[in-house]
Amino acid sequence: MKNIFKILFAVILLSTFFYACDKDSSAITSGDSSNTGQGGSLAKFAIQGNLMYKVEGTMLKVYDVSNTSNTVLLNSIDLKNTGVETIFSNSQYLFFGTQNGMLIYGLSKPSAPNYISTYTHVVSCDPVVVQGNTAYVTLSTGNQCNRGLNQLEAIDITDITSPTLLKVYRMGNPKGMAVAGKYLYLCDQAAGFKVLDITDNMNIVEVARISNLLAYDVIASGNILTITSTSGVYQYDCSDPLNLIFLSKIASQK
Amino acid sequence: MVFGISCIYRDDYKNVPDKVFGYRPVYFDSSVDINTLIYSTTARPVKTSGKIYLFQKYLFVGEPGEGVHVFDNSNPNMPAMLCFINIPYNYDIAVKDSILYADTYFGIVAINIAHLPDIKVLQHIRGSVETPPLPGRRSFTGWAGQSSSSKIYFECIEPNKGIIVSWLPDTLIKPKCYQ
Repeated sequence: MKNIFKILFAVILLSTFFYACDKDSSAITSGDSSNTGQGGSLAKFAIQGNLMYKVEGTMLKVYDVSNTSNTVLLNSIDLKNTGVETIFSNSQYLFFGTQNGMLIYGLSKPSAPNYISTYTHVVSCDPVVVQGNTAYVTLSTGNQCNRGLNQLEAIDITDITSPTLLKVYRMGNPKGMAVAGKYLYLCDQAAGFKVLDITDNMNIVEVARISNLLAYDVIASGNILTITSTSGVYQYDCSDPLNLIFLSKIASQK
Repeated sequence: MVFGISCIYRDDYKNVPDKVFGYRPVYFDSSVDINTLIYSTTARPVKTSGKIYLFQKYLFVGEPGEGVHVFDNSNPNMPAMLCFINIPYNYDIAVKDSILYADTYFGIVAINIAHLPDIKVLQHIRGSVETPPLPGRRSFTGWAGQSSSSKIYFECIEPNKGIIVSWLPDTLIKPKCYQ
């Protein structure tokens, strides 16, 4: 009997531990388990549980990936939006970066995502990342949907049906992002790779920068940042986000 | 101008310049065996680093339009080149349970990567095939946008040649189609 209690206690302790890890990692990843990989913010694929969401042109495709030997297309949904560039997911919602703004779909029925709301801004291309009740969106020039704006927007999504702008921050030419805890890693291309403290969304401040890194997307995974740029793929240790430590570079020829 | 229907026009033959810059469609022959197109090969240097993806100890670096470089990233101080997975028209991937899902122009493919550098193409799921937009245009069939005052000529499409995967810039002789 005593042993049973011991085991029970151990199980409870362990499950709390795993729960804590899960909770922690969900803040930085789009995926939901170690069996699922992790992409950058410019991805057009998102996996949640046994479902895979994929942007194809103006359509959202939903695939069942529970059976490794037989992937099944479950659903095709017309997003009624041209230029869907990126997809970000958490367990409740899908966030699309489109040329007209951020589009939000709900996952209450995961195989049939339902339209919830649109956060519209000027026509631009932009990825989105989400943490808690805030969505971070970048708008940048230098592409076919150029409207001359280079900025980061913090958007309150507490009321998911009505996203509201909190604050706009001028940037150089921002592209991909990753959010981890109180930091937002932002690829500002020629303006450098920036570490932003997002403790207060009304007062986001730059706390570190790698100025010679022409980055366009980043993945934050544990203590490692993986960054893709015009000169190759870089990895940095971000144990201390204020002092990123260079680890390696995979050089590209172009 | 007719809006809302299509912005693909066939020109009156006499109005077409004799020689003009334009685009030729590049066709994909969908009867080709997928395994001859998607395969693992020796690692090679990255030309253009595209999208990145992490799965367990692996780091994938996209080579836009060509496939993905696979690195063993057990030690992020020294990622080791492992192989290159050739996937035509690939820009994006995702991995779950050692199955790599990759987009190609003609749908998505599911590839077993449990035994890298060996791979096995499991499945090819054909998607909706959309003709890619002409360079500088947002879509092929939609409204061409503000810049539609300037014509872009292209060699008219012959659907029996297969699906179109890209456009090749070229000098065209009396092309009949423009957007």
